[in-house]
Amino acid sequence: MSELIQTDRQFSESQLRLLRILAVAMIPADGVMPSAADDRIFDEIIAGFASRQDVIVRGLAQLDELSLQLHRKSFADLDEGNRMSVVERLRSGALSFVQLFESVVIACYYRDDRVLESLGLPARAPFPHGYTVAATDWSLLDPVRRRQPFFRTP
Amino acid sequence: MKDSNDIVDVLIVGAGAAGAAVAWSLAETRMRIVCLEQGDWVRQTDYPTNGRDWETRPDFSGSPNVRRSAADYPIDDSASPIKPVNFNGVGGGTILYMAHFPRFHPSDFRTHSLDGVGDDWPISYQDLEPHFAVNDRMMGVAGLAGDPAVPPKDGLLPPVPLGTLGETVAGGFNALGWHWWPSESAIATVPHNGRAGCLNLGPCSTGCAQGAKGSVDITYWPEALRAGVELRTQCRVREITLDERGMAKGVVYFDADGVEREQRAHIVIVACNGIGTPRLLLNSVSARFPDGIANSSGLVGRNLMLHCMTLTQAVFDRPLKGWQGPIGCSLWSKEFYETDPARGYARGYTMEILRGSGPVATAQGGMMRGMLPWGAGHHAAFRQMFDRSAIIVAVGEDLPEASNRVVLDPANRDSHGIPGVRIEYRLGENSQRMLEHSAARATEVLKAAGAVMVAPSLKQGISSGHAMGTARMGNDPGTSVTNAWGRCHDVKNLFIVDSSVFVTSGGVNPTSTLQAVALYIANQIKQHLDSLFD
Repeated sequence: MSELIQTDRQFSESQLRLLRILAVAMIPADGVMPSAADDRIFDEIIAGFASRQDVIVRGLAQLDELSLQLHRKSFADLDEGNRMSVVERLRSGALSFVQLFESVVIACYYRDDRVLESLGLPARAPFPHGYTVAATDWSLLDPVRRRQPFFRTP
Repeated sequence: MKDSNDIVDVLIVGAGAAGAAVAWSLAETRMRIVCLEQGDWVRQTDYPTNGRDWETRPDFSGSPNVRRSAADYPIDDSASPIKPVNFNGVGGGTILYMAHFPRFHPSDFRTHSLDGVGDDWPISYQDLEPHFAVNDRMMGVAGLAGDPAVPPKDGLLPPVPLGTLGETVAGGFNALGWHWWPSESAIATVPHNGRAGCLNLGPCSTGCAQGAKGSVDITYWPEALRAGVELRTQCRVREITLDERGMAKGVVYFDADGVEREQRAHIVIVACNGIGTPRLLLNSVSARFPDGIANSSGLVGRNLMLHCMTLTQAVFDRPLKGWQGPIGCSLWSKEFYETDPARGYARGYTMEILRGSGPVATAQGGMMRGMLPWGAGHHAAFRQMFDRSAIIVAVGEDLPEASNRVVLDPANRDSHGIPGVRIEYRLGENSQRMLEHSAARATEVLKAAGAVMVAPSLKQGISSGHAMGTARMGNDPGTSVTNAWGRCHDVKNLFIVDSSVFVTSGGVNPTSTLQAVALYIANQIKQHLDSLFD
């Protein structure tokens, strides 16, 4: 936890606010699933940006600049529709920021216990319990078994 | 420089699939054998599937350019549509491979005679057959006897179950009357040689925490070490040195503390894979070999083959439980493996059906391909994709072309200052036609299996750990680097035992065949011990 708090401090309050807005814009809540700005998930997302903070800070500056150009307002002050239009423009331009943002948000969101359980997945690592795959009925192979060998022998 | 007076009988460079097999085979001679490996052991407790972040660990990425560990060397792949992957450590590529374990077909060794393309190997499938069998036993290979597409074999462990996904896609092959068969896989589906049975963890491609996958750190190496082979890890070889008679004197390497050492040997064996081996040879320059040791033919690094591959993803309207079970090992189809001139290209490909991905990989793939939106539609789109996707990878035979090659890259060096490599590779016309054919056939069979959506096939940017051909074997010293048993034409106590010696690439994953070749060469060394350098 101390690491997360330290990481939080690497971003300003306004940057954190923008990141939270972007996280919701990317993955909103839907009644069953939390949004990517859910506190527990968001803390992990911010920690995930720690080693690439420069890319994130540059990307957020681009985001606000784009918002001012398109709508004469800061991104945080836009309504949802206008936010998505700015996001779409950003996605076609600021590739390194967008790829990093999407990658970290997805990595943190889709390993959250609540998300996994909503998808019907066990909220655990694969090892040591593993999974059970049902035995195969190999009569499926009967049509293939009827074929003669067809590899070439030089 | 230290240790220059210590001479071992056999020095092996590289502890991966080939180096391990050779070490184990030669151990019965009771010669003093030392293996130098630039990486370290990997503990099973370190593998990603032990933790909740199992889908996102960069330290187990297949790309050395992502991992960037001290054991890795830089590979500039910007001039290649196919991106090489590897692993540098005890076990080599078998640590991260999917354990797909097909053998080359008999026709793969005679492509020139049969189809007028490539070159014939100086050895045949029959020469390798006993070594395939030994290797299958050592690695533990699951499969089902009776496949009409390949020569008969026995001793297989029970096949990996297909699961819902595999059975669904198999239905598509049956509907079209096309061949399919459960994949042969180096996976202990039941306990085998001290290894526990497979738990269906999923991503074999990031290492097997259960130890059911046949990686050579847990198959060949324990037996080789018990038999007296010495394995020194974190020891990076800089160059192979020559004596005044033109024989390999030994190697210069950096030990785990970064100290430069010399290790002399009567026999030097290189097993660094199709990219690492030419790198080492090209870095070993001398007055006699200014263009790299054993390179009088000029072919070291050339004829690089990586396999031409397509990846076709489909979405079905029902859950497939594809995230359970070995991701790379389900079923294969050899329907289009052997040459049919009517198809417009020579040689062929294997279709390999992959299981589905975990949630993170599904979402990242969907986002990358534009199938997963931001905003309100995100959850519905994800539910349509996750656990409903199947992927067919077609592994096609790319023909040897001298212009496809590995060259040194002095501008990018490893942690010891040794030049990395650059890959110069383009897909030939035959490969292009094969790619189009395989993409169309994969789409056809996925639709026949009931897919509701098939995405356009990826034909470039796919990763490959199948580097072959960069120090090819042959009978003519003018057109090959080694003879038929891996001995360099130019340096008679220098052997190459990995997939660098391949003459052609086949249309299958190469690990089974490269290990059989390594065992064959080891056998030749044992049989020729009294006349090895004649």
